[in-house]
Amino acid sequence: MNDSEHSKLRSYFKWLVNPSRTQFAILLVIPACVLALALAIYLFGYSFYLSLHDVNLARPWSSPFVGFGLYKELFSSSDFWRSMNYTLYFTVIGVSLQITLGIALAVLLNRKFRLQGFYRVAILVPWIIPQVIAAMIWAWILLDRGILNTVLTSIGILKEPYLWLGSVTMTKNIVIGVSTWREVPFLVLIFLAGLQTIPESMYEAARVDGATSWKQFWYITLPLLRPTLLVALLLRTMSAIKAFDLIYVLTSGGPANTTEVMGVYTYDQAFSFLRLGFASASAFVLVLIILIISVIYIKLLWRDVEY
Amino acid sequence: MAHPSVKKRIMLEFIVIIVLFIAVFPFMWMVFTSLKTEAEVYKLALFPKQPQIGAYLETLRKYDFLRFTLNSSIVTVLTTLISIVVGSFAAYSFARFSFPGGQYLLIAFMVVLMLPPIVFVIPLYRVLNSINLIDTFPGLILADMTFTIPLVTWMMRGFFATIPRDLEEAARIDGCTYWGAFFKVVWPLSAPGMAATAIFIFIITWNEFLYALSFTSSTEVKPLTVAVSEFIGQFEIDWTNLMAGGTITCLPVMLVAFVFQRYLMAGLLSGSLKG
Repeated sequence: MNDSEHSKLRSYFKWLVNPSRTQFAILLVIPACVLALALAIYLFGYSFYLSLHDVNLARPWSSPFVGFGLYKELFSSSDFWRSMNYTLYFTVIGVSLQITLGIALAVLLNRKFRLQGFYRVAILVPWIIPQVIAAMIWAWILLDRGILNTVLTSIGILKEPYLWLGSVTMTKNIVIGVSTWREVPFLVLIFLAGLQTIPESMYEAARVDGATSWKQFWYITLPLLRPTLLVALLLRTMSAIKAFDLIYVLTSGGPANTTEVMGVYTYDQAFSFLRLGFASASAFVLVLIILIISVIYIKLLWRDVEY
Repeated sequence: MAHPSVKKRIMLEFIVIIVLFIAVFPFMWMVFTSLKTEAEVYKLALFPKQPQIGAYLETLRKYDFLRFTLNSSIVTVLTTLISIVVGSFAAYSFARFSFPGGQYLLIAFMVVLMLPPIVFVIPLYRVLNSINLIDTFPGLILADMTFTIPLVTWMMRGFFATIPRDLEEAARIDGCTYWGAFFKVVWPLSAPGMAATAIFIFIITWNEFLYALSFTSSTEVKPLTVAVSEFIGQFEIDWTNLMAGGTITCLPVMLVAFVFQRYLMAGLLSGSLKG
């Protein structure tokens, strides 16, 4: 290339090689937007489109437009409501339990001790390993011939091995238990970090005034922990509603679909029953619930930022 | 709490140990089981009489877990690398510049993060199927990036905001282009933040299950998480193999987490506290 061709090429690509401020800003976000955002938005729209058509892979030749028919079918389906019901139960009980335990343990563990760094990573093990493995381990532990039964029968607490994942009520709560085992360590870490921003002087002043441990907790710790608490609450709630991996592997939604959270229900509708349209409608209802909860939380958070 | 009584102190120590035990025992139980012989598996003993690695050899070779490990590695490493680069670019833009529509774009990223993956699974299946990327590495990587890129963007944005602008401005005054200032000044400075984010993304991608389950099926592509879940159904009797498979799946993430724990902690705590 001779000089004039060189400079023409350079002038065509100047915006790329030496962009202006705004050009640079936009250039930077383009890959992310294309690869993730645009794709996600397209998928979201496609999902909605699917939810308006009774797409059934068992009869791929016919996918009639049914408007909101699938949503109507969804809301009159007892399976759907049972799933909703359990998702709510799992989320409310689970998250409350986890947050409470998280704060309690964080307060108890909030002191210097040897090997603190190692300890903090060690208790994170439940969170680090894949949910699938966590489910597998607990299924193994809770087996009728598993270690829990073996220990309990040999001590004499149980007369014979108990089917932990056999009954409906027990399984519902065990799922919450395993989920709690997995999530609490992470919460403890977050709350510990929050606790450490509270200056010791405040506690000392309170002690001088004669405040009990409980009063110190209620009037100093909790209020100052509030922003962290709200973020943790939001993140945990969102995660709980979207739960899938752990439950799918631990119980597959059983026994008899009683632990079928929305994620599992939707997945089954799509991949077992092959009703893609119906499953999309179910997914969309889940999205709506999440959006509503987010809006509520954001309103709460904004109000709380000034204190 | 300056002067707890002796009773309190003992109780606290007790709780510290109990918590550690509850957290770590299930994992240890899996590892010990994998080292036992088939006969010892149901017994009350904690440790195997003589640790056997037979289950591991069998699981890796006969049950293809070596291949599955390779698959997980490929997907996770590539997803992490691409997401870090692409996400950091976007994060830098959001942290430093404002352009028309920028605010809405950022909110869009946050919204995508909040959505449940299940809503993307069905359309993603159709889309990937139509471009023949079902049961391929690029297909799964593309799927995973729909949440890893926004996640990287979120985490790095907060981090970039903590870097003082003066350095980039100095570089610009010295004649650097915006790219130059970014790569010569900001990029090296953001190494710790990027490391923390990378560790986090690595763990999340390695552990990913739903997309892997939905979009892969062949031994050549299936990652460990899916392989183990299928293993459970198939070999209910051979627990040592199952536990070996589980341990194999956990080891890389645990290794990464322990070796890079400082970065992991930094990443976890800064990301969530900045809300």
